[in-house]
Amino acid sequence: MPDNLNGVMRSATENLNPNIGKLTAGGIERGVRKRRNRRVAQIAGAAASVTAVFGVVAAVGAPGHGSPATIAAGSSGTPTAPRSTTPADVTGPAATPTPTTTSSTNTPAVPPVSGDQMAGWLEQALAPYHFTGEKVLYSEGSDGPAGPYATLRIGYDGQAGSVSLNVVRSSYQDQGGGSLPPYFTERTLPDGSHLQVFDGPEWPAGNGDPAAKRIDVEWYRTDGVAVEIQVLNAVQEKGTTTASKLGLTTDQATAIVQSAVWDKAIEAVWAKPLPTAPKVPSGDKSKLLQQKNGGADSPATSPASSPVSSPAG
Amino acid sequence: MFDEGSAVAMAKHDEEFLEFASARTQHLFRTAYLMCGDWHQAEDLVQETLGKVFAVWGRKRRIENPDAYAQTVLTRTFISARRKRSSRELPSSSLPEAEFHEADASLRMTLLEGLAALPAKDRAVLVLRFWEDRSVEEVAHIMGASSGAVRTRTNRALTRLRGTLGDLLPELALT
Repeated sequence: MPDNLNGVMRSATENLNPNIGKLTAGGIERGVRKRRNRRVAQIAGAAASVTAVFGVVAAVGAPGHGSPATIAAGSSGTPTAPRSTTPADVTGPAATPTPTTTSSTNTPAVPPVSGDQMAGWLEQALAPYHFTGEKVLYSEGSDGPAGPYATLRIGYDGQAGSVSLNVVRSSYQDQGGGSLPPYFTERTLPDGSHLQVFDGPEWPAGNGDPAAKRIDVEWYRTDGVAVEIQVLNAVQEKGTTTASKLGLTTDQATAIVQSAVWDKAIEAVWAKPLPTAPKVPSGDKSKLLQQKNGGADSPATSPASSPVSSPAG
Repeated sequence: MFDEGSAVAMAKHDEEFLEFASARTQHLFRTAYLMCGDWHQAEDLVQETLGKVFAVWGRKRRIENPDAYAQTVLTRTFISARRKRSSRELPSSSLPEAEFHEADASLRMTLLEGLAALPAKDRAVLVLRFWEDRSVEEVAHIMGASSGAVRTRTNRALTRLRGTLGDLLPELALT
């Protein structure tokens, strides 16, 4: 019987043999439908564009509607200066603003936050702890698929670690009470928000350094946004050594996630649309996955056909 | 107007897709089964994934790594479907008709129960990390999340799974 999660998952699926022909045929059928729908949508979109262009031309070109070519009535055929065409001048039905348009212009848009801002705010929040050699390792704004977040390298006592902070849309989920390990605690705050604190070993959640330790503090706000901080005694860069201790305590990490410095990022997360289907991968990210798959597009990369291994990074 | 060259190219692309699907469908199904915990939902997820991959197969901008692309599509389709209210019904408790070894049956059932109790994203992250054997960074790319978020989610999901599997797996035992 397997004694680790990898083994249990492999054991649970090794005898599953679906009807591959049926699934492939079903997939192709759906794919053909999607292709057809896409073409129809493209044609409809093109037709709509052409119609819209003709509509605008017709509306603008109609007598008395402010076309630059309008000849002033009663003049002797000399073109007059083009009349300025403000929305108020345009009276044709095609140009009548809809209530939706009007209301949307009255709603102030929430500006996205950039990765640089996230990194700057994280540096600001860490300033009281006087770390040395701070360096931005990763950051992404609210427009990115994973953002907004920032990861900083921090130096302390001649050692180095890292701090990551994410602002995400995430609802609180009760972790199950009595079965929690001793290094995991959770509590409800007076305002109804929840705080989950993990202070323990990095393994098995991380990439496999047995000496790595971590603090995770997740603050689940009542508005459905969570601010998460992760403190590691490792830098997440190749060739760096794991520090003997963490750079922050759980209390310090808790103070950081509850800082008002994240307010703009929280607003931006709310304004961010939910993710949809992925784009065709290209470039470095695709190569990253390719390397993991053995450097080829070969289909023979199934874990079922490869030796069971721990998720070492 | 019938473009014979395009038709030939399309037929070649379709043939390549068939080859890809034949080789990868079983693996995709197993991943889908761990995520969904239900045979029929896993079948539906795999067909939807193959459909989405087929729809972009043969475009000018080629998919550089079809395996990784299909994996990403599958994961995101799963998470997206779970977000919709219509698909929140509990999966059937009946297991698929497959030949299982009796010794592992209870462990498998316990695993599926434990996974089913997790939110969709937590389930996906565990399947990708431990069944797909992906690194934190790869899972972050597949799920469109940061590495930190993946670590946090993995940690949270494992903490919950310990309650179900801790007695059976020394690796997850409470310490």
